[in-house]
Amino acid sequence: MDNFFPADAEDEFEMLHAAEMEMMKEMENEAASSQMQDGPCVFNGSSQSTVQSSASGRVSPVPIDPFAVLSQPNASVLPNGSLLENRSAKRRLILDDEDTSGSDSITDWAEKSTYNSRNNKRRKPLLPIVRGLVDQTHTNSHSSSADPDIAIIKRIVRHRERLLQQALIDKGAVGSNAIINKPRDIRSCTIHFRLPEGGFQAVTSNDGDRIYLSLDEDEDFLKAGQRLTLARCPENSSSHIKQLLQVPFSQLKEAAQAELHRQAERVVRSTELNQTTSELDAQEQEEDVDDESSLWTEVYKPTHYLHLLSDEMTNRSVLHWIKLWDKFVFGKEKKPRKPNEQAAVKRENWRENKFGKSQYRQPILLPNLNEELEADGRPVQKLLLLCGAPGLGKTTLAHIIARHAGYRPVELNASDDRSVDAFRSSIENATSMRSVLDVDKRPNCLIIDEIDGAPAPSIKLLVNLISGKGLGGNAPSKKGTKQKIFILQRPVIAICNDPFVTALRPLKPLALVVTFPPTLSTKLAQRLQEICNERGLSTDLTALLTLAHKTRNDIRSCLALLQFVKSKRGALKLSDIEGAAVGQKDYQQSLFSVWNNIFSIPRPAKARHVNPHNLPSPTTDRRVSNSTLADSSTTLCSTATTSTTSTIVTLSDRYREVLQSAMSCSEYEKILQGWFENYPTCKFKHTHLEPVTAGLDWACFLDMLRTEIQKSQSWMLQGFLPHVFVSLHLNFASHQRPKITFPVQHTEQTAVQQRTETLITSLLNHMNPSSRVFAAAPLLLMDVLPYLSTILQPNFRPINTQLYSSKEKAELLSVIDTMIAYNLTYTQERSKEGQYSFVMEPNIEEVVRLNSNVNHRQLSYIARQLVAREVEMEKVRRSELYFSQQQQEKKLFSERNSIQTAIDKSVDKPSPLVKNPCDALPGDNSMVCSEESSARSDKKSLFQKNKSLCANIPSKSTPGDDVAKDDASEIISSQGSNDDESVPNHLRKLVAKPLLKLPETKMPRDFFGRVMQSSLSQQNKATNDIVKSTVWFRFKEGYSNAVRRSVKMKDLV
Amino acid sequence: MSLWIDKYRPKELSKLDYHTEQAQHLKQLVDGGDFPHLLVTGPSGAGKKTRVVALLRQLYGPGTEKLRIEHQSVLTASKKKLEISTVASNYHLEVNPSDVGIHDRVVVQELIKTLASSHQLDTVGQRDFKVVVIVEADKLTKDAQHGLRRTMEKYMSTCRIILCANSTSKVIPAIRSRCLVVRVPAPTNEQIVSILQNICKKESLNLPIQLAEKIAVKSRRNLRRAILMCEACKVESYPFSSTQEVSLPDWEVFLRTTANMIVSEQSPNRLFEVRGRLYELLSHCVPTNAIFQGLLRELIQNVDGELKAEVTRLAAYHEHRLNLGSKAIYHLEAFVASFMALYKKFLEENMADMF
Repeated sequence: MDNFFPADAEDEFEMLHAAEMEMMKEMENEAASSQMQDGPCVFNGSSQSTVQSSASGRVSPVPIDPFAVLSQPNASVLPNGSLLENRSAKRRLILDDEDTSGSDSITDWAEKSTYNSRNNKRRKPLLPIVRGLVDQTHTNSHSSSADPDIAIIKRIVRHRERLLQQALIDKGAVGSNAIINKPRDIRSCTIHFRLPEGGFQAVTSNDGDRIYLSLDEDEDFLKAGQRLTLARCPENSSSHIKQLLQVPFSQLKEAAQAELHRQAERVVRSTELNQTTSELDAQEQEEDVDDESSLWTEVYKPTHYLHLLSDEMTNRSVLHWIKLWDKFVFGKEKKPRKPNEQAAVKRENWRENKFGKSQYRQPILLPNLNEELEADGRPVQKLLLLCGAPGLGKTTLAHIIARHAGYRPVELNASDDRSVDAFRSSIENATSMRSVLDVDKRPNCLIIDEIDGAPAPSIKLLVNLISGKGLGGNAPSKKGTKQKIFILQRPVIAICNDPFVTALRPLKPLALVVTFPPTLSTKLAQRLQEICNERGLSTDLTALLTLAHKTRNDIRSCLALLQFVKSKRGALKLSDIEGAAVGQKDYQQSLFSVWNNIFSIPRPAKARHVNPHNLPSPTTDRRVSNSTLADSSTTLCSTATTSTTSTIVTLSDRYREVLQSAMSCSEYEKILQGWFENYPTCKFKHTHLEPVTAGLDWACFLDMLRTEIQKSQSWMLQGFLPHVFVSLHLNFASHQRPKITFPVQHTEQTAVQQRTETLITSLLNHMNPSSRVFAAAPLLLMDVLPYLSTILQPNFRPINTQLYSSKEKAELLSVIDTMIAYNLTYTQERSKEGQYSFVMEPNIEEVVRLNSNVNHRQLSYIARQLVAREVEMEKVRRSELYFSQQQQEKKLFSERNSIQTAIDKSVDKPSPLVKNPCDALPGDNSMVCSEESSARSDKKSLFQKNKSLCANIPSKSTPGDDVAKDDASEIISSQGSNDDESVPNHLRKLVAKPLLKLPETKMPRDFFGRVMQSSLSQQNKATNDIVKSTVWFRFKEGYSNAVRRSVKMKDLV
Repeated sequence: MSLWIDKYRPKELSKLDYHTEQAQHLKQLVDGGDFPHLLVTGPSGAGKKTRVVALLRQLYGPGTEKLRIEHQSVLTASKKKLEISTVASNYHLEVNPSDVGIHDRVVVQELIKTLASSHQLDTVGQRDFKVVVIVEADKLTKDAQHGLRRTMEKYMSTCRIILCANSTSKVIPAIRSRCLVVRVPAPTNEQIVSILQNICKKESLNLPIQLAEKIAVKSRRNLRRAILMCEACKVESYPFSSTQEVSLPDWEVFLRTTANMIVSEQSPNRLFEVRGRLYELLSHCVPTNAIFQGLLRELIQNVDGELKAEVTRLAAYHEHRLNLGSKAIYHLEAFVASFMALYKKFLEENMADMF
């Protein structure tokens, strides 16, 4: 910047300090951005020239306003090469002219920096003044903005002073012009004609031009100042340009970075040093720690489809199923099946060629995979249910295949909350949303692990979702707006161990059920071998095969065992595995497998390994055969030992196996039932049914034990139960494959028994209590009912009952009486064939008749109809009788009321205090009370009462009419009062009631009790009125046809 | 009321047909004004209940005949509500606690306590106690029986208990000692014959003595059954003939054929068939002890004399075990199987002897 300022000494300076100049340029390159503040200074000395040169600029060239001058290079003149060249040339001319006044102006500048007003007035384009002006405008603008800036500005001014002095000496400025200007760009603009971005200060010139000074560039300004002051320090020794910075800034920066790096390295090295010293002691442990930090099951988890150990067909089916979703999820059309098949065929052909096995053709996919798609592109089977034993890799498979098919697996397992609400929300989240924050934007695939433990309502929810009924439970939508049914949009894979869980039942028909076959032992052993090799665990394939077999191909437990062995010993031997407690875990077995175990002798497995030590010696066999066991089992054992090439299934092995399987199932009751219903169809050797008696004895034992356990809650006895099945196995096992059916007989029997019981209780509950007393349920069942069904069906002639002889009538009456007493009747029912028949209700036939071939006499349809009708009639008749009786009583009551005044009140009304029917009082009142209370409590007792009242007229009562009861009791009591009081109640007899005296005609009395004589005329008038009118009526209480009118035939005709 | 068993049931102690001496004793007992707790035992159809009812009538008068069925609910310890129906008059309450199975203890405690803890208001012209009749007392669980025994003592002043049981063997000694045991033996055949003839006379029917005897034998001294059989015979064919067929209840016929099946063949297949029939019987609610008895009766008739004791032992053994267990079918089949094994062995040995 200073370079082009002193024009006179330029050349010589340039020649003197060529090298320094170079450095200077570089430095300024670095600090380019900070130098724009000094921009105005650069053009200080060439205000005129700039005005001329910027004729093309936007600023009006006429007024040489210092502000305008200042703004020109910033606002319009961009660092343009040619322009700069031009400008610098002109400036040099000017500078040349005014060279002499240069030194003066410098001093002047410092002095005049404070005289703002004076400077502003001077419009002379004199260089020093202009320069000063420029600086003052700066200070002016800044001081107006903030006071602390003044200090900085002063510093800058001071610095510039110095630079100016230096520049006077240094003449090589011209060449560097371009370099200085180059880094300038639009960003570095401080003064704008338009509103700048960021903070700014508006300044108005004398002419009214408004310019804007950006504020945020103060910082840069400041930085520049700082750097310059910094640079001054090394310059102290000499006034040379070298003093600004000896090393280029970039180099310094690099060096600093390098230094920082070095320091960091030093720190790291020191810590590393510490570590290595400790590491040296226990390097091995260190390695092991690394291993233990991650389980082998995690480390050796397959990551690709091809790594999967599970059955190929299963894998492929699952993959195929998930690909069926492609059309819906990704919108991809499924590739036509043809090429696939062709490829498959090709592959087959290739295999044929290779192995020469033409007949060997595996089905590629599971048969139950439904490839159809629904209209919306979703597969018919929207859910995949993977079931299989634990540790086979179901979860792994699901995850890998989901990822393989381009989904993001979202797992939901037993550790998550699986209540209905939580389940719903998680399903919704997983199937209808996609992760936004994650890196992979793939659609979700919901994997519901351990679904067999989920509560049934949750599974029902899933079923609803799949079958398109929606998730339900959403907020009730407003009326009119149709609620959008939530449909399943993503594949769902459910995983379970036991597919026979009751809760899963509704799910199974909707899902593609893939039963996970156990991994091949050889495949598993191979993989284990690889892992062992990698880990440096010395072992052999035989041991691994045994391990795989023992754990039932549970990959997880195999790996866990291997890791355990590695951490403890380092070598795995066959003997270790046989002794290890692996594979004895809680292994759920289905009922059928337990039954199979009981009924079949395990076939000796093909020898995978021949270990001479493991072969049972003949002596042990002899011991076995000599042992006091059932014949069948011993003979079978001895036959088994004859084959030397196979491992022999010893008795103890069988014992252990059956015991374990029974224990693992633990539904002993059910197992026993299964045995009980299946043993007659199984072949077993017997001469005198010994196995059967022994087996049943054991069954009884188990039954007793279970009863005892439940009664006394002594669960310690539970341990004895599974041993029963070992005995059953030893008695009934054979080499034949048993055909096992699920036991149903017992449940069927209990159902029928319950039905019978309810029939009998219903019968008992509605029986006449007097017959009920003598008929307890078992008596009724065993003695009464069988005969009752016969007795109730005498030979009725199918004619009108009016034509019956008196004997027949009596017979019918007795039948009807009995039926009513036992609450039996015939009801019409329609059979399946559409025929109507009368069935006894409750159907005692069903209870009584056993499944025998004897044909029982049955009443004909007509006879039954007759009986049914008569029963109903009799019921009606009885109730009618009751009502008429009641009415009679009412009449008596009204009559007695009229007598009441005349008769002495010898009888008290029943005391309302006596409520308890059991608390009977002595004497008349007790009778009354008992009568009343019994009547109130039960209608039946009224029957008894009526019986006593009106010679043996049975009646069907309606629930309590208190008035009737009252008066009846009163009658009795009034009559009873005549009896001897001393006779105890229970010894009294009911005597027929004497006829009531006709009530005296009641005379109307006036207020004073005198008999009133009604006037004859009144009476006459009344009779006349009645006689005169053609319509007359009489009110009959209790009848609806109260109004009567005589209608003659001729009126009608 | 028109079944003969109901119609001609004696209602008073003085009108009983047999055991008149015992009836006299009972009458004296009651006339004394008080009586202890009673335990009435005897086989089915001997007239226990008839005597109890007559006794109550003797005690309280005809008011005991006014009966009503009440449904009461009892709350168990585990807050389970039990419904039990009782038959009651103003003077007594009849209850069958074994209706509610294992919860009978609660019933015994609650019902009797509520009934017995209330005193009679006026004891001048009235007995100062009420009577609780517990039927099928031998089916009470041990718990219930133990619960009963203190109740019997504590509420002696307000309550008498009459227990009805078929056999005293299942009633604990503590209760037996607190009761006056009244044994009602089954009527003899002659008694049954005379009763039947009396009834027929009242019905103005002519019953041949041979038929009456036949019925008496077939009924196995069960008077209820005898009368029912007689009525059934009358319905089937009247006038009676002395050679008339007397029908047995279906389940007994069924049991008999089952027993014959067992005797005729001993094999697992036959066992399977028998099982089906046993299931049939069980599903018709035929009590297991009746099945055991019926089978044993029929089997014993068919086997050789030297086996009889052993077969009886087997039946007793298995019935006992059945009472300890809960699933009847295993025990029944175990009995059948063990009989088959025994019988088959016996047959084969005899065959060997013959040759």
